[in-house]
Amino acid sequence: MPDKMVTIRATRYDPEQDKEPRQQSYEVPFYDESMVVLDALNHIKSHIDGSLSYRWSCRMGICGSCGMMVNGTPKLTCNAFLRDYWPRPIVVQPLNNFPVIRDLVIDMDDFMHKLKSIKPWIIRKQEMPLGAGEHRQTNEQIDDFRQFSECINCMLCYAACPVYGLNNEFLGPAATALARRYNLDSRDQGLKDRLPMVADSEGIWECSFVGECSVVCPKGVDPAKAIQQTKLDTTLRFVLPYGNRD
Amino acid sequence: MPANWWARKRHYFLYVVREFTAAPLALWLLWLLYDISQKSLVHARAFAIFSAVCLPFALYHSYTFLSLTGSIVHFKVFDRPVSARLIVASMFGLWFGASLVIGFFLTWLK
Repeated sequence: MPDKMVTIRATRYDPEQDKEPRQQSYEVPFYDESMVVLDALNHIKSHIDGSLSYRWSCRMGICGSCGMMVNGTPKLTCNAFLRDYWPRPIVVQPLNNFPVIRDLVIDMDDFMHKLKSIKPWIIRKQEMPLGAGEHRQTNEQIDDFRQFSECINCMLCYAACPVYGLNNEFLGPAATALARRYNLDSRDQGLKDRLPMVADSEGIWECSFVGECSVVCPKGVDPAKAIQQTKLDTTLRFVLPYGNRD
Repeated sequence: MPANWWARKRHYFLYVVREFTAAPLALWLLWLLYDISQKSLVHARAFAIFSAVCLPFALYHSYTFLSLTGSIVHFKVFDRPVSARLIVASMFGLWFGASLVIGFFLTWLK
């Protein structure tokens, strides 16, 4: 029996049985300082209650699937160490601002729809034949968008954003950051294809710069910066002579 | 979203305070415009007290606004991006300089 135990209070919700979500407590052995909240959930799933549902995959902060509210803050549970919370109980809830499917699993459809709408891929007016070689970039050109390309679509920024919580028509932080990532890419020519979504009233102009999206981002993407810079760029495109050219 | 979402985190609370600083500043401006339309300070003493009350709101709003410019403004000099810290420092410098110039003219005009 390990010396230390940690209390995990996880949200349980079965839409076929429960009227609303409830909290259930589990005592989990805390035997290793490197244990993370995801390890505790896996212990519950394997040894205490196999019916607990949650998403996870890589366990190393890359796949972005294990995002949950940990003591009220959006976190990747694979990156939330028990030692930072112990001996206090740890409350694990599904990500804020999304419908709950079951227990800790949220419905991602709205985000996936928004992600697709900003066309997160390289758009060319005319594709070069493969024989013409690569689209070459300098290090400086890569540096322009590298930060925004680190997004792993974990949706923590949406859970932290009160603007999205109050109005889920808002395009949101990650989708805008990824739109900016492609708009800044020297190989891309799809700016005008993305502008109708990004520069819409439910796009960048809905953001009032709370900034919490950047605080919770586990990859340092800084979506708030992407949104504000896009506001400035689209304004300059509008007011400067020839600003609207490609 | 629960109605008390803004009270759940310090960051949210400071954001709401930042947004609400616009309210007293708007009232101050309306009062000033009214006095200008009357071509005299109708309640000079009360206006001076209200101005003193509004000053911290104006300073806080300016401080947060200028602090965020490092995230918003982005440009390159000789193909190198100018650092956010330098942009913010420049903005505060311009603010200080502009305050001195305006203060000088207001004192001089008096």
